[in-house]
Amino acid sequence: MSPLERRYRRALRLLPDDYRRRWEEDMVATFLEAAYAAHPDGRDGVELGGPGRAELASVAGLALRLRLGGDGAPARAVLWGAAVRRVALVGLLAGTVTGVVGAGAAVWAGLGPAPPPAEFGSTWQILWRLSALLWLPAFAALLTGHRRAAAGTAAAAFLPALAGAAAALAGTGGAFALSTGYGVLFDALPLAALAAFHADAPAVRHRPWMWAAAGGVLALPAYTALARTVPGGDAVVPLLTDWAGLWCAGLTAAAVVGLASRGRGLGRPPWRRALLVLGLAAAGLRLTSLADHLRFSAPVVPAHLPALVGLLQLGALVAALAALAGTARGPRDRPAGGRAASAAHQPIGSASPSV
Amino acid sequence: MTEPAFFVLAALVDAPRHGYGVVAEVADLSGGRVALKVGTLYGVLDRLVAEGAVAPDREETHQGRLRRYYRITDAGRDALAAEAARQAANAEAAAGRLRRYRPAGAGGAA
Repeated sequence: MSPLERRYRRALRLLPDDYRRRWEEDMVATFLEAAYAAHPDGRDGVELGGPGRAELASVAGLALRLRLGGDGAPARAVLWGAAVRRVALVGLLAGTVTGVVGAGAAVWAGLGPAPPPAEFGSTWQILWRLSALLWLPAFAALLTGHRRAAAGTAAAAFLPALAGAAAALAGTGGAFALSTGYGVLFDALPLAALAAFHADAPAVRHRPWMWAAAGGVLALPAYTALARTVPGGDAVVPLLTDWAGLWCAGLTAAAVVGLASRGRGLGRPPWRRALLVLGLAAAGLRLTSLADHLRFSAPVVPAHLPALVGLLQLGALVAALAALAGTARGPRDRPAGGRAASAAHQPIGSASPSV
Repeated sequence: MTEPAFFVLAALVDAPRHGYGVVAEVADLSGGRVALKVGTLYGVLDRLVAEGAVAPDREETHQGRLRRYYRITDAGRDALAAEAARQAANAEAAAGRLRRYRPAGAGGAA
């Protein structure tokens, strides 16, 4: 076997096993024939090389479409494709809601008769906050089927957060490095999940997501106002209202709604998987940010309260997710063989998201 | 119907072909504009076989390697004909508009 063939077969390992069993030999024969035809005088030189970038990209794209399937894919791939697309949509929804609410607060603080509160700081900080508004056009582009525009705009919206994290890491001498680094990875998760919006992906039903965004914009200030009334003050409020706290609250609520829906709405298999993926990621976010909070934040009285609140948030989230995962044993969850339509094979948005 | 699927079906109309035969025929049919990558071709073939538009025809050994040939089915031919008619109607509508077009300065309808 020539190095070229060996390298191409290694690339084909990206494909699902059953697909590879059916097509690998055929693909290898076609690939080699095309490679030799492109260089009729230099067979030996060709055999020592590797597959070109465009060929590798076509295999990677095929693997993505097969594993995170769209219309006509095997049931298991359809289910995972639907779940990963929900991860992306929920991530962009969360960015949109916090971006709009944060920008609204910044504008209100900047235009008000009183000087801006210290937490809003300089004009630059206000502009920084406004840059989070980019999540809104990214979300809108995704809902209307413009997936490339959505990915580009979401990447642009992510950049200020990335730069902010880099600046924070450089400026704090390693303090909060764990939570900052994990936070960047967490925020990148929905961006990576956008890959599931490939050409075969079904259209998104945009109306429920628009209602969810509007509801979120109303619910977020209400939640933060409510959180500030919780006894404990500075020992509790930061944990309830920081990024990890908001995700824990939203996902716990979504998991509870999913449990109560008994297999419908947020209880449907793709939603359960999406909530599990997001929930595990958010649990990591809470854990890392809690660890850094306890190590580096100013001490509070009583000292044990932040750890207690953080562990309660984690406990509630993990318990709700575990209960939701426990319902994933019914017959409707088992993927049918072949190219059958599954319970997942419905337009995204047929259940109202509540995060 | 996607453009690669359209060209793969068109490449199989006159004779069954193996994978590289389809790649070469598609490049020829499109005047070199469409250069099918292998991952793209087998994504399309897998879909077309599943839909019943294409079927395996025969297998041959060539220089020690297996060549699997594919042929278009009646359903595939019907789907291609419908798509070709749709594209021809679109092209004719646009061409008609262009024939009637006169720049504003030339006194015709803009």
